[in-house]
Amino acid sequence: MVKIGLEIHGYLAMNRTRQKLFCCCPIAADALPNTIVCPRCTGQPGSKPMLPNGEAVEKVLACSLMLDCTVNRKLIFQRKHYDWPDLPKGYQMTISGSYSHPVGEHGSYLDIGIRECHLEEDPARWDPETGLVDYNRSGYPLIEIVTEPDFTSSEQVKLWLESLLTTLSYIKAVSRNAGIKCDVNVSTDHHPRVEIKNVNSIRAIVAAIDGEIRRQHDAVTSGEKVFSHTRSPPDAHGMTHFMRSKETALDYMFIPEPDLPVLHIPEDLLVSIQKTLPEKPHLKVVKFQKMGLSPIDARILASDLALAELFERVAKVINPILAAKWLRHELLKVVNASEKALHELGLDEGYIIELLQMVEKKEVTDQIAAQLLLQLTEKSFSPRAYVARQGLGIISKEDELGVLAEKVIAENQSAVKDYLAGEEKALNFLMGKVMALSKGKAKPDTVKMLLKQRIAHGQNKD
Amino acid sequence: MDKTKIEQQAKKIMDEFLLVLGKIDQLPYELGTERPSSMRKDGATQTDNGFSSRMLENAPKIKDNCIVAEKKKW
Ligand SMILES: [Zn+2]
Repeated sequence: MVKIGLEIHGYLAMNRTRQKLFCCCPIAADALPNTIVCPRCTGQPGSKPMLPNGEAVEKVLACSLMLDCTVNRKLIFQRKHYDWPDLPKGYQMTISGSYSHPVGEHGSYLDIGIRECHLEEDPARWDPETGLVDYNRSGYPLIEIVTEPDFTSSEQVKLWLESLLTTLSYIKAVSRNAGIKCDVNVSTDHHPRVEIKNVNSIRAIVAAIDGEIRRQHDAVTSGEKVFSHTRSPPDAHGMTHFMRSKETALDYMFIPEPDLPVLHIPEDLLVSIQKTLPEKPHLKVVKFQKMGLSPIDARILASDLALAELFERVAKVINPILAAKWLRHELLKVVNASEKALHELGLDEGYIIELLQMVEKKEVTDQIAAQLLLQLTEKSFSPRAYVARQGLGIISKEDELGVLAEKVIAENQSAVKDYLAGEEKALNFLMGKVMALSKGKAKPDTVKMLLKQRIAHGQNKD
Repeated sequence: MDKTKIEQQAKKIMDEFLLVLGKIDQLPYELGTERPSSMRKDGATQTDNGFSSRMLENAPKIKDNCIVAEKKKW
């Protein structure tokens, strides 16, 4: 039997204040090393922390509530002591530890227990091999989410983490680009748990779990005892190595932080955060499937809050399956090509709906609609007015299209012969020619029907 | 007093401190300092623009703007 628990560290997205947790130093990922530092975040003698950044506290509260945790409204920062170059004060300020009440506790997310969520400051970036230390990251606000050991496989961990990250991105709590760091605890067949420290991607987490299960199994098979200890993150070959025997809370000598007051969470703050929380992604997936969407379409549309909410509003007026097809395929294609997030494109939702209504009523071809969608990401305009002005409406009159079909047949006799000899591809070639002549305004089905009709007619005449 | 003796004494003090700490199950809340305001509001400004260069000037060794910590000491 395998039991896996995670301690997940994520960088809180400080979109509003862009400041560190206990000082006003800006958060800037690409700054030159050691340039966004001050006496506070580098622990200079005599320096004291500022009050914790309110935005960071709000973000941790939002995460705790999203994970159905009970929130403690009276929080005490602690000093967690250790003596490494990445921590110049000699201690990290955190709301975890021996005597703490975490921000959130006893939660649950997708059937996995959440033991606690808390807030802490990040240490510096330190490379033990070269000795280089960059204190820019010192004092970045971090959330730590500790799960119960409820996972039983690496695959389950992977799916759960992907879903968790989507959920946290819904509330813009964790900056996804900054990545996550995970301490992974693995126990097999009731042996003491082994912790793998600082695994920094979902892929590496899966590899670390699978490797540790194998390692424990091999150890037992060869008569060794599995004992509780901490292992290094996987190296380039995916191997973890013994680091130290497992530290206990006592090793960190937690004491309450005397330089910070008790952190009180006002009831009205909690209520206002609760009100802003969106529906969780997995519930949206279920809802979208009930609307008739395939599981994959539902999952993709729910993977981004702006996209999911756009779909929900569009699907109120357009057939949901048609709306899903256009948003999930055509719109995402355009968004990905733009290298921007959907919410950054400033799309006019009303015009998207107007365009899709024209598609639904077959007033424009898919080809023209796709071009208009692309243009809508560049500037705002009424697709209906534009189509009318430019004469881009669908050509449905068969006599108009018939003329085009006959012209194409006359000019491409060898393709006609190939088609008559049984080559379906030749018909597609002819269709492409007619579509091009119509400037994309012809309905492909009508063109196909007309071509077949005209070719057959020509044969009969012969 | 030689270095080893100081290290031994420091370890003894820390071990004794740990033993005492270990006996405390729960700290009473009264230990925390109470203040009317406990969170920093948006808009706070206080930066020390000259600090980065002062810190780097005082570092015993720097490379690529990073401080070089003593290797293999931790
Ligand atoms: Zn600072």
